[in-house]
Amino acid sequence: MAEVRLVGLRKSFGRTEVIHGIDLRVEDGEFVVFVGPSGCGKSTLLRLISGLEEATSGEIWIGGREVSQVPPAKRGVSMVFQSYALYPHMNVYRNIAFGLSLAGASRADLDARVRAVAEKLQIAELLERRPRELSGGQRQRVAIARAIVREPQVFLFDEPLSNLDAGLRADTRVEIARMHDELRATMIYVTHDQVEAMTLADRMVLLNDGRVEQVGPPAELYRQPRNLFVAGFLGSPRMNLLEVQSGEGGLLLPGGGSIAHSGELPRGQLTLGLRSEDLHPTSGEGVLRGEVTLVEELGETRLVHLRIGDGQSVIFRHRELPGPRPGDRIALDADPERALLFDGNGERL
Amino acid sequence: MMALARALAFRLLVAVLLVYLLFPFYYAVLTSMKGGSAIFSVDYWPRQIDFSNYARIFSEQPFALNILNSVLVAFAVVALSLLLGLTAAFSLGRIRFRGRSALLFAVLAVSMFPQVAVLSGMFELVRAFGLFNSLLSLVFSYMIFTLPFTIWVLTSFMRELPREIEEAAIMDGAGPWTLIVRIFLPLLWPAMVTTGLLAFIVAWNEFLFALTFILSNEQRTVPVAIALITGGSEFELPWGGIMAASVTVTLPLIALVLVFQRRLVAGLTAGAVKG
Repeated sequence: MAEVRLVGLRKSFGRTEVIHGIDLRVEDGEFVVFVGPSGCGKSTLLRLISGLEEATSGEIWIGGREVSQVPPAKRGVSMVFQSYALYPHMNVYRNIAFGLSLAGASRADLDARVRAVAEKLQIAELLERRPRELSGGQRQRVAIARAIVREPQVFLFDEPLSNLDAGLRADTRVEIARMHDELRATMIYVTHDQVEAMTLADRMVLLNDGRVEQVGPPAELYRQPRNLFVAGFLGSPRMNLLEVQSGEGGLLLPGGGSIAHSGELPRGQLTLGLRSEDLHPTSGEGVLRGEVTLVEELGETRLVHLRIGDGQSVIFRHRELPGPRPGDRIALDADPERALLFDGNGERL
Repeated sequence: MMALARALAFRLLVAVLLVYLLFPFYYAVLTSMKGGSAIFSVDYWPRQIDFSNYARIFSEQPFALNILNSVLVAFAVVALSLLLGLTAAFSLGRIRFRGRSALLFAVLAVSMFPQVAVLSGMFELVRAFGLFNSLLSLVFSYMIFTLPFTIWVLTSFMRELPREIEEAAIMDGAGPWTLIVRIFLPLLWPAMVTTGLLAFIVAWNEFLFALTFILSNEQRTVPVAIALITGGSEFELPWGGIMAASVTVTLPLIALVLVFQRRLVAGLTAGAVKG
């Protein structure tokens, strides 16, 4: 097992630079998830670590060895691909054994390792089948078996669940988490799905446009986003972002409400971030008032869209029954400690 | 009633098509079994089954040797075309480099010239390499017909293969040669059979180069040998023998197509739908 360290890593395709100098340290045995909108460079970053793409500049250290000039198979990494990428013309056994046989493993050793991995992933009875005779979930297991059998120092996952249907995805997610507990291997996982990222990650790396926006445990990114991008990317529904004026002793909200604020604040226009679960209906004055425009029923809770004037609206999570109806006028209170403030550059204060 | 009429019309259309396609070959078979002046009477049904024409083509000239020559040339052309085609397709389909599409179109452009246009230049090349009157000259020259379509077909098939399979193999430690032999070759097998068969047919039937580059009877391939079959006098064209020879050399092709039939259809349609 090994730690992974990236130093000043850059990648250009032609004249376009897509990775703008990334420094990152993934601890031994850690589960790190790269997440970000499509085109943010998360897959490219993973491919740089795997060796499928060559870095334009910078260093990649795996287990105390600088590997940016080392061919992929010799880096001690295994990769699970989005489409599984099983060899269609080989049966499951040969799919798993291919890498070992190329590495020159003895027949007995190879056979023992393939069977042990197949046993562990419960695909022992499928060894003679071809990939096209397997279900999506089974293919996924074979792909993981193929990665495990080489006993790599680092596992790389490139959106491995996006081809599975919703139910199987949740199951496989749990299984990957269990596999990580069992193997205690360093894992780097790329996804655009924030639920996957939040549930699996020890630490998340949120990328945007080839740069790291924030690194940290999922709860930290959720609760203490460093800037507006992180705040807006994580959480569903998106965080409510309101234009507010800071003045004497507090913040002036659209619609006339105000929130007291103790700390020093720059004067002028700021952005206030409030998550939908931090807004509560109140019978009193509240800080925000408006008219319900839409109610999205989720069963256990419902999302209520509230127009608060100035063309702005907020979404809050409503728990009690009965829910409000479109046209109702509602006042909301906000948790002042949970409220986030961002300056004109989008950085959190 | 309408349905019956429609079914009948369809059968009729199929029958017309079949007659159109098969009649010339049928007539060749028919003629090959006639002897003497019977050749000149028009018959649509066999009156006699006489294989003496077949026997004669093998006894009056080295026809068995000609067939062997053709087999050697055709198999060599197929093997070399597929080897070069597959490796070229790998680089043209998988590796990004400057001038890739220019190269691909240059390959295609080669096949646009009429055969006669390249004949004299090819003759100079053949002589320069010292291949004149050798079967190697034919193997060498036939590649200008077979390589363009072999490369194009295999390249387009190669592009259809998911890139991740190749990348998985690279992660597993496969080098370029292992990739080609153990991943691409098995996956492209249907396309290889199709292009290989087409290359075989081209090499088997080629006439002009075979006539020009080969001097001696013992080195000739089948199409030229058939054209040079002579009768008892210079005024007699031995149609019976020519037809017998033609039928004889068509049979291996039919056999090949039948053997590879299923692969052939798979190769022609694969890549049309992602699967």
